[in-house]
Amino acid sequence: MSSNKLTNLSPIIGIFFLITGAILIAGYFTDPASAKPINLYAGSGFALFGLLMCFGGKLLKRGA
Amino acid sequence: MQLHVTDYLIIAAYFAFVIAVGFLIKKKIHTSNDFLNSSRSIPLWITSLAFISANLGAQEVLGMVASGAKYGIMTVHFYWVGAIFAMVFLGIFMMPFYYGSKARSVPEYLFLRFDEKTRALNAVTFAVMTVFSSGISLYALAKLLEVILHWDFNLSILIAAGIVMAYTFLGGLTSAVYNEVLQFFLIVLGLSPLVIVALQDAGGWDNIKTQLAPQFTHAWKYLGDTADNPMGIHYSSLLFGLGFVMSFGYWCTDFLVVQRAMIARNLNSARQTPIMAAIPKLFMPLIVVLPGVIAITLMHPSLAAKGYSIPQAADGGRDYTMTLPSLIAHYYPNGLLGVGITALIASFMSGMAGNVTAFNSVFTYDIYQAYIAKGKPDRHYLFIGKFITVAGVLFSIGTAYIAKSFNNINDFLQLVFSFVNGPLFATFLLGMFWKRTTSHGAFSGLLGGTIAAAITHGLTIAEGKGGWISPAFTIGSGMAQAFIVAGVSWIANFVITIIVSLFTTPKPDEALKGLVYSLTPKAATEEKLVWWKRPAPIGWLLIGLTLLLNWIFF
Repeated sequence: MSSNKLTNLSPIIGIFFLITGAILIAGYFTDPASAKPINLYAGSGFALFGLLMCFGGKLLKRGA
Repeated sequence: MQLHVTDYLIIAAYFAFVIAVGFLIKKKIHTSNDFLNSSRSIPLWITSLAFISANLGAQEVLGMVASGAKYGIMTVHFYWVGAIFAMVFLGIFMMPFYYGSKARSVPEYLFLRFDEKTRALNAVTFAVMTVFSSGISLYALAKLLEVILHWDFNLSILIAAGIVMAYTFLGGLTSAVYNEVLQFFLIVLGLSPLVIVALQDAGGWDNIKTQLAPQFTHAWKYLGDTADNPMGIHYSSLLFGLGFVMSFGYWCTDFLVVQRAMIARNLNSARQTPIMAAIPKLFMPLIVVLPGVIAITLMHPSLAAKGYSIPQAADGGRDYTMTLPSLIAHYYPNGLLGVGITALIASFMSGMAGNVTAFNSVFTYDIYQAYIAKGKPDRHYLFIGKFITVAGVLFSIGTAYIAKSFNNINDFLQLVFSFVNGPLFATFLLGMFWKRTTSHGAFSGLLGGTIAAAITHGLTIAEGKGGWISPAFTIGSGMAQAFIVAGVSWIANFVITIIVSLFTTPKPDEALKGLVYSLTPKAATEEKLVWWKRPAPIGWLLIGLTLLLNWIFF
């Protein structure tokens, strides 16, 4: 089993949270039932976490 | 609770991603070792989060919030007395034997250390327990979705089981482990906003302490007398029953969690896995205990204007199990509601997938390969592993319907599991740290401990349960009864194993190298690592932090 490629799945997890964050933010602006500030804050938090999962590893490697 | 398109989109995204993970990993699965054991190739951060997530099933999430509401801050004992010490012990003292012996499962370690009959007893009971646990998870998920969202029970069972089957069949253990990591983040991030908003609504921790009886906000102060605390427990049975027997029995011997550490890339990572997992575990009460304490505070007359109440059960009392779903419904608008529901679904599916992957490993290695078909080519075992994954999910569906038909079967099964699990840690403790322990001693101790558990339960009665031999002793709560049953069964196993071992012949020292503490040389490489990469210093630091938290919430 080629473990290097197999184990590098944090971007996939990141993409999930980016999409979830985007859905929450989009819902805040488009769906009246979802137009609550908490959706905007949580959506932004999710998106930020998603970005961190996608690119955090690369940034750490560059820093090292 | 009414879901909108935003909520459905989030749930659909989650389902799509867990299956996508299965498809991505499928390409890398070539051997039975890849499928059942991840070829011991998983990095430390993944094994650590999977280790904690395998335990973060629905029973844990819903159950701990419910206990928080019922017993208050005392529920943290499951973490700060139970889990942390056992996880640190596993990492420092036990993983070298599990990992170093090259055993592929916990029952296989028992085979190497003792003999076939001890392995068979452990493998068969574990396999049966995991299938039933998986089915109960499935039943509880479908029941919850039926109650809160009015979704069709049968459809919920089929969808949840189908998704778990898809990703475990495609990617085996690796797929389950990666999805557990996704589920961990989803549960933590999905429930964090709830804690923040609800805590603010309850007036913060200071107001909670003012509104609630002091027994609900002190972890230790009222444990001197069983009549003084809502759990009806004395600190001695808490420390021994929960802190030692039950927690060490679960965290150190249950293959479902230990398996996550056994697939790490090397011995040091395997040892670090439970210790790294203990860091988030230390703070998990913020997510799963605090909401329960907040819920009970919100029901105080002074906070009636907040409009929250724990739902009523059929008997007119409070349905504590519904505390978390009712908090989600109360505080989350559409959008976050979808996240909250997805987090609940994730916790159920995580529990089920963990059971299915542990079941297929134990069945394939410890039952099929050991007794049914030895010496077959690897592709045969890969096929069996996949076949058993499907069979495990189908058995779980069957168990879910059995649980639906017989109301009391969940209680009954949990009881039988506790009879079997309670004494198990004594077998491992003696097996790993006393070279004189014999195979006959271990087997007799296990059987004797299980029988002692059943007898103790038959002689004690708590909340109307037990006392089926004679209700000779009344105990304050079901939880206290569980601690006492576990304690007695452990002592029985410990004593019987020692007595029988002293009258039977042990294995020669040569056969026990790498399996017993006194006969295993300490790894020299560990000494060269910086302190924060070694399990022991981090473990001791965590124990210090745990003691500090216990002192703060004394």
